[in-house]
Amino acid sequence: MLPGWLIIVAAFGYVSLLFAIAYFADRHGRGRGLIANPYIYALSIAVYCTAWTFYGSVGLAAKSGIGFLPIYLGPTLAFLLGWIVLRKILRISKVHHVTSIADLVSSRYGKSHLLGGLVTIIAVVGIMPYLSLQLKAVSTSYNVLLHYPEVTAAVTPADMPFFGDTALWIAAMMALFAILFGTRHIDATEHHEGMVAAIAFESVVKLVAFTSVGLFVTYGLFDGFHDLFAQAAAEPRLAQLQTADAAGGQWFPLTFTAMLTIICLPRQFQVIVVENADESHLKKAIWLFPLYLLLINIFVLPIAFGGLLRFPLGTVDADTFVLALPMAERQPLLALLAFIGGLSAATGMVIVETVALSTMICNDLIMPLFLRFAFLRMSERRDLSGLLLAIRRTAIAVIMMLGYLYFRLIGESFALASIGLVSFAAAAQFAPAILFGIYWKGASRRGALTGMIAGFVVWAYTLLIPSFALSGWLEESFIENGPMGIALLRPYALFGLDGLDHITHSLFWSLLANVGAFAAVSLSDRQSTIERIQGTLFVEVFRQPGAEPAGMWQGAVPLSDLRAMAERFLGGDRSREIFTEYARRHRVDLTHATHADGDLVQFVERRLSGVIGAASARVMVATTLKGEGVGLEEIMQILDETSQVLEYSRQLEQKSRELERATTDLKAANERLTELDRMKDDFLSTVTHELRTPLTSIRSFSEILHDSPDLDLTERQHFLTIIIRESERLTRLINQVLDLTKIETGRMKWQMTDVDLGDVIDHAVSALRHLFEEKSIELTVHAPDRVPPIHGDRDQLIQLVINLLSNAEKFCRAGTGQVDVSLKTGARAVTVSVADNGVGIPLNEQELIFEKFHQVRAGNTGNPMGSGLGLAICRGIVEHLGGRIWVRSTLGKGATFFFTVPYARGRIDGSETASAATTEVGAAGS
Amino acid sequence: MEANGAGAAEAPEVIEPERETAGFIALYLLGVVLFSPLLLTVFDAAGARVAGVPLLFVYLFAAWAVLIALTAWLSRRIDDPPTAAPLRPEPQSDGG
Amino acid sequence: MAKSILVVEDEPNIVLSLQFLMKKAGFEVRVARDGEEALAAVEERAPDLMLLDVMIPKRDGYDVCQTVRANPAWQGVYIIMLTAKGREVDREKGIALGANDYVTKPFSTRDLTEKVKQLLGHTA
Repeated sequence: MLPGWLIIVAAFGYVSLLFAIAYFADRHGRGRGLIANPYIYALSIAVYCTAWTFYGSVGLAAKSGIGFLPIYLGPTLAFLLGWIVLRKILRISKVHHVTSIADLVSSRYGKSHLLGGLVTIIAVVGIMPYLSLQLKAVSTSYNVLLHYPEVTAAVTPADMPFFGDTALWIAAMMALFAILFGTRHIDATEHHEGMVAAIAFESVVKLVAFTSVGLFVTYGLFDGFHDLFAQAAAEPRLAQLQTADAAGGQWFPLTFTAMLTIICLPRQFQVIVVENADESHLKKAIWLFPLYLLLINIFVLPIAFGGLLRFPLGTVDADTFVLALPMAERQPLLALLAFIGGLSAATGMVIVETVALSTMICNDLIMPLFLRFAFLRMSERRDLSGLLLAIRRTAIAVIMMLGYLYFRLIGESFALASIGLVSFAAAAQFAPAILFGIYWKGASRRGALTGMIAGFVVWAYTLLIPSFALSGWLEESFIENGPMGIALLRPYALFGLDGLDHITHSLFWSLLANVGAFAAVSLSDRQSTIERIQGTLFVEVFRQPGAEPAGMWQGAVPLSDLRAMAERFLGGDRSREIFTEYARRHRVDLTHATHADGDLVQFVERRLSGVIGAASARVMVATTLKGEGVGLEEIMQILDETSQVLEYSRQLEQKSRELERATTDLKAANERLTELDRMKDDFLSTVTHELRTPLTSIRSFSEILHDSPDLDLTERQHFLTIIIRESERLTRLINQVLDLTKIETGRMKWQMTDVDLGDVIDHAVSALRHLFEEKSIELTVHAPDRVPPIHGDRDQLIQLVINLLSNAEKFCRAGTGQVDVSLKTGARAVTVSVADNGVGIPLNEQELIFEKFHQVRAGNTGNPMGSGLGLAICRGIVEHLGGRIWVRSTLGKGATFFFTVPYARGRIDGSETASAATTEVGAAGS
Repeated sequence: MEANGAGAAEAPEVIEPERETAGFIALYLLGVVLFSPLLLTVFDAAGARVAGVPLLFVYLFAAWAVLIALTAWLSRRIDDPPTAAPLRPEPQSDGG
Repeated sequence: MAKSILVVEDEPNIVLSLQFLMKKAGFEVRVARDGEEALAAVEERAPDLMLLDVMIPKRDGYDVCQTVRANPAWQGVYIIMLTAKGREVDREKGIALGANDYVTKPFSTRDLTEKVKQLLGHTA
């Protein structure tokens, strides 16, 4: 008898054992290599064999002979390429800290959260059937075992009340196990050592249990293989099963799909990639795992045939042969062992799968969503680990619930294997994105997105949804005639592709859509920079600097290649030199050597870095020696260096430009200074000259007078007059020079008062009147009676007018000369003009005359008419007062000098209230 | 094989060995062929038996085992170091 | 035959004083008031000595000096440069151009007369 409680106790006992193993492994095995060994690793990969393997294979074998094998041959073949493909994925995942399939895909295609979320959703939906199949297996086997020793057909779950439904309880239990095993803490590397240990143990249990039953059947029920198969051959329907035809057309598609899914199933990715502790473990795993598959499948056919022979057709569900046979032969312990084996297979799958899925849901679906919603203030939460755990646990519960729902709705309509294959086809949709991703740099995000969506949609349409129809949840006509009667869109015969079994049909269309869309979009798409970078990093993960130990070049390198590369960069002579130097230093003979060792390569690399920089040298050596092109990452490195160099040189250029500008400025300033200096020298020499000239006369005549006592009186008088005049001239000159210098250097002490210009003119006129009278030059003055005051230095202004008058006098011919002084009051200033009818001033000199020492000579020879400073002084005075001075003249017709002086501040109009002007200050803001 | 001056304790990263890669690819192709429906029909002679077991079954498992064995052998060769360089520089007092 | 002196000077008062002095010393005096006039005068009749002011219009004293010296026919003409420019470099320039002497203004009339007599008396 096998009472229910015994079964339950056995089950719990087994699970407790698993817990103990997990706990022990976590506590003591961590980091000590207990768990991290290749055998454990290979065994953990055997989680691939689930209840499907345990029960479903036999069921499938009973229907189609060797048709169950492809699921296991596929992984075998895939692992043959494991050292190539799997290792690449392993390396990529380590380098880029990938913790799930969603992570891998999202990272490859530019760290796209959208893609990660999509992969997660597809995974959850796709794995749902797979989970439900485990539930079905365990609940069915439990129910069958309950009826020990009577073997009956499985009870329809639909008949069971909800809470009596063992499957529900089992689902709840499994969710609890998964939570307890896989979400006890958050680990950054997502390593679950305890879980891995438990899974490895389970794989052993599975194998032992199944093999035990197999042995029992083969040697207990029959006399070995020979006998078994001979008896089977005797029955026609069974004989048929021994042929290849029995497998049907599924052989190749299933093999192919299984090859893909060995890495695409979330739990497989978890144990192969995420939980991997050491890349070198892969070396053993690539043959250990196929060996396990071989071993566990040896007895599938015997058990199948055994069951078919033992039980009349249709009485016992072939999926339950593994249990039923021991039961029928009254082997309670073996039956219990078988049950535990099946339970083991199921729980193993559930735990790992839900942990993997919940990690994806948490990291690639929920958290990105949360991060988008600012109000949740994710970044500010300190206790994120608590939140993460909560999310994962909830996810596990929800996933199990979904699995259970699928089971209730669909479960018993299909055989275990069929259900499993639906998930396989779903998982296969990740394969293009992953495989293209790690080999084709051009695979783009949009391509992956479109491909996966297309494949998923087709898969859903051709497998998932029709399964609802077949279970009675959708109209059957949907299957028969297509949606709305469109025959071309029949889910099981899309576009008229009839005659294939559902799985193959779905695989064909979904992968076609997936790969087609993927390739088409990727080829026509432009990738973003991050995609290109990630693409290069992934595809060339083995050529990353991290892949080789720093500075070490291992392996044999053809010397000729090395020489050629050195020549390329250093030139023939220089490269020969360095090789000679190396040979001399290390006392080796390179003439007959074919290969270069690490030292030489490093030596060359170092020499090269002197020429092209360290990073570039490393890259060039690496890529040249491997004969492949330079990748983007390397180009980026080189570009980085180059851009740094460019930056420096740009800065240098900028600095040198600034320097140039400064130099030019300096030169200009220097020139100005030199000019000023020269002008100063000129001024000095001219002043000197002007001073010495009258001095010369004074001295000469003084001496003459002294030395010539017998000079007649007229001559004596003449000479004395000259002396006096020249003295005056000298004095005048000295004063003028001093004045002008003071004006120009701003050191003139102006006595600023309100001045009446009319008054000034009167003064000046009276001072020079005698001169005019002597030469009989007519002098007239026109000025209004009252002139509004201007602000200025009275004496200077008088001097100004005197200068102008004396100029006018000089240039007038005696007797006919006429000089007129006029004063006009304007709106803002007073204008005074001094007009003469003398020789006039040529146009080209009308500006020059105001320059220092410019002397206009009467005629071309003859005395200079003045010191040449008078007008310069006039200009200095006028401009200091804010006015202007200029001349209008026509040669031969005289000249008129004008100057303006603005009114005292505060006066704008020309009103005549002088007193008001002096007191009125500040109206214009003085 | 002594690592170039580095501590030999750390397992040196092996650059992808080209021979083994070719070997694995060859094995893979062999597997595809061995398990192809084509070859299956060859061994699918009805009634042919090996020690009572249908030839087909024996063939499949035998082929499988052979492939596994070859893989094991090839993977062991991954550990073999590539042919050592003929040059061994003598340590000099001055640096390179 | 009295020695002839050519006074090249544009300042009238100085011309007057030089004329007086030279006449008093017994020389024949001609006057030129600018460089061109001076050269024309030399061409017309080469003087025995030139009192050559530097700052004269048209062609300055240095120019005249150089021109006179360039002509082998006038090798015998003595040239005394007069100028208000007293810098050493100006003096050297004058000497370099071939002047026999260089006098800065204001000059001592006695010294000047002495120099002239010396130069002309030499050949007398």
